[in-house]
Amino acid sequence: MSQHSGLWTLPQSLTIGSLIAGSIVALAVLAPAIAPYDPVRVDPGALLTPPGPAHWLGTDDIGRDLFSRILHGARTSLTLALAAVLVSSLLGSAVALASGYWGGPVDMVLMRIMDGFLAFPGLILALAMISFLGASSLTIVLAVGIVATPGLARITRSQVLIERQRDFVQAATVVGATDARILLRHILPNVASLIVVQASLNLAFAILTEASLSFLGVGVPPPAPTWGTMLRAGYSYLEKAPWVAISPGAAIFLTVLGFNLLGDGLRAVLSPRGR
Amino acid sequence: MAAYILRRLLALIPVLLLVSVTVFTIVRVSQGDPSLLLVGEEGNRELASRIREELGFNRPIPLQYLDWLGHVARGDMGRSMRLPYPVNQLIADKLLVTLELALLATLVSIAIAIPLGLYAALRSGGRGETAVTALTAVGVSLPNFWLGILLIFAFSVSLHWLPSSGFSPLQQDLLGHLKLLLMPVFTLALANAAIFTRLFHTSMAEVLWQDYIRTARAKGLGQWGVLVGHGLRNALLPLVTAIGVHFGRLLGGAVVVETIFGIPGLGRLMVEAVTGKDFTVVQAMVLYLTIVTILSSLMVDVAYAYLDPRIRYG
Repeated sequence: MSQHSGLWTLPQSLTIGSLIAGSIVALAVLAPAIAPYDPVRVDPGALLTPPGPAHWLGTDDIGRDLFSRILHGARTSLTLALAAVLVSSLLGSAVALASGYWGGPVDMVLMRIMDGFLAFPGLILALAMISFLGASSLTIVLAVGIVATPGLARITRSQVLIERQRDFVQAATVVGATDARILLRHILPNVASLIVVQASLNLAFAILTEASLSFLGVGVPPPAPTWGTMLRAGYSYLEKAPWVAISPGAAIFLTVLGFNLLGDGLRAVLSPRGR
Repeated sequence: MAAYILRRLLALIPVLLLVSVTVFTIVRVSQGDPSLLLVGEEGNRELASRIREELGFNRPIPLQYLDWLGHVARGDMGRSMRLPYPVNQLIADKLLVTLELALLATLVSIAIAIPLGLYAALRSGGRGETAVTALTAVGVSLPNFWLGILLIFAFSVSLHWLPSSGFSPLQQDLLGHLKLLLMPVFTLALANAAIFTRLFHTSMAEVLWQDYIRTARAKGLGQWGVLVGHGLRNALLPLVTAIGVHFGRLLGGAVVVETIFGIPGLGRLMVEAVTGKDFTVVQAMVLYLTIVTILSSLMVDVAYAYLDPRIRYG
C-alpha cells in the first residue's frame, strides 16, 4: 500500500514488522533466561502488586509475576500459532496445487468445500470444532489451522492456475515429467513466496484466534500461561488492578501488529517479482 | 433475474444437506450416546436406557439422521439439552439483540471508512495516506477483547461516563439503551472499519485515475461534484461486496463483544452452548448461519446488478 520504488527502499511496513516480530520471537526464545521470576510461582505476600521496580508489570491475583508470565506466555502462544500455521500452509498448499493443476471436478469439489468453510466466521467455526472435540493443545492447533486453510488455498490456487500455463510447465509436460515432479519442482517454487506471505498473515490471525478462544474459556488448559487466559483472569480485577488485563492484551496486540505488518511488507516486496 | 435468484436458492439445498450430515456425524461420533449426556456421567443408568428407548437413540445412526432431518426440514430444531426451551425459541429471543448490534456496527464502520478512505485517496503519496495506512494496520491488529477492556477501563472504571456492562430493552429506556450499546458497537465496528477503509482507499484511488474523472474535471465540475457525482458512485461497488461478506462474520466478533459487555445475544448463546455442551443449540446455529451467509452473498450479488448496469445475470 505504501509507495516504494526499486529494491533499495524497503516498504516501511516490512522494516517495522520484522523489528516487532523479530523482538517478540527473540524474547520468547530467551524467556527462561530473561524472566526474573518463575512464571507459575505463587507469592502470597505480593498479591495484585502494581507495576514497580520489583515487578515491572506487577503481579496477578495470586502473586505471580506478570512480566515473567508474559514472556513464558509468548512461548505458548507462538508455538501454538506456528503449529496452526504449519497445518494451514500444508493443507492449503496441497488443496491449491491439486485444485489448480488438475482443475475439473477435483477443483469443483475442493473449492466448494473451501467456500463452505470461508462462509463461516473463523472464531465460530473454531469454537464449534473445539466444542465437539474438547479443548487441548492439539485440538486448538487443528481448529485454528483448519479455519486458516481456505483463504490460503483460494489465493494460492489462483497463482497455480497462472503458473500451470507457463512455458516451462508446458515444456516439462512435453518431455514427460510426472505430475508430482511438475507440481513440486516447477509450480511449487513459483507459488512459494505467495504462501510465505499468507503464512505470515495467518500467524497474526492464529495468535488472535487462539487468544480469543482462551479469553472465552475454551483455550489451552492451565497451568501453561497463555496471553488469552491471563487476560480473561485479569478482566475480573479491572477496577482494582487494571494492569493484570492490560499488559497481556498489549502483548497480543503488538505481536499481531508485528506479523500483520511483516506480511503486508513481504507482499509488497515479493509480489512484483512473482509476475 | 428471477430465474437467477431461484437457481441460487435451489443451490442452497445441497450445501445445507452437506453441512447437516457433517454436523450430525461429528456430534454423534465425538459425543457418543446422547442419553448418557442427558442424565450425566454419574446419572441413573435405567433412566438413560429409558430415554434411549423413548427418543430412539438405539436405532441405526443413518435412520436417526433422517428422522432429525425431517424435523429440521419442517423448521423444528429440537429442544435445548441444557435449558427447558425449544432451540428455536432460544435463538429467536436473542436474534434481535445481535442483529441490532451488527447493524449499528456496520453503520459505524461505514461512517468511519468512507471519509478516511477518501482522505487517503486524495492525499495519495503524502503524509495523510501514510497516517491512514498506519491507522488501518493498528485497527486490524487490535484484539476486540482487549479494545473492549480498554474502553471499559477508560469510560466506566476511570471516568464513570458509561455503564460497563448489561442490557436494557429499547422500549423501556431509549437513552439508557444507547448508552449501553455505545462501547460494544464501537468495539465490534473497529476491525471492519479498518478493513473497509483499506478497501475504499484502494478503490477510490483507482477510480480517481479513470478517464471519466479527468473528463469531469475538464468540463469544469468542482472537486465535490467530481468526487460525489463520479468518484463515490463507482468506488462504492467493492465496499458493497465487503459489507455483505463481513456482515455474516460479525457474529464471530459478537461472540467476544457480547461476552465482555454482558449482552444477551446470539454470540453469548453460542459460547454458553459450547461450554455447556448443548449440542442441539450448536447444531442449529451452524445451520442457520450457513443459510444467513449464503443469503447475504446472494443479496450482495443482486445489489451489484442494480448498482452497476453493466452486470447482468442470466
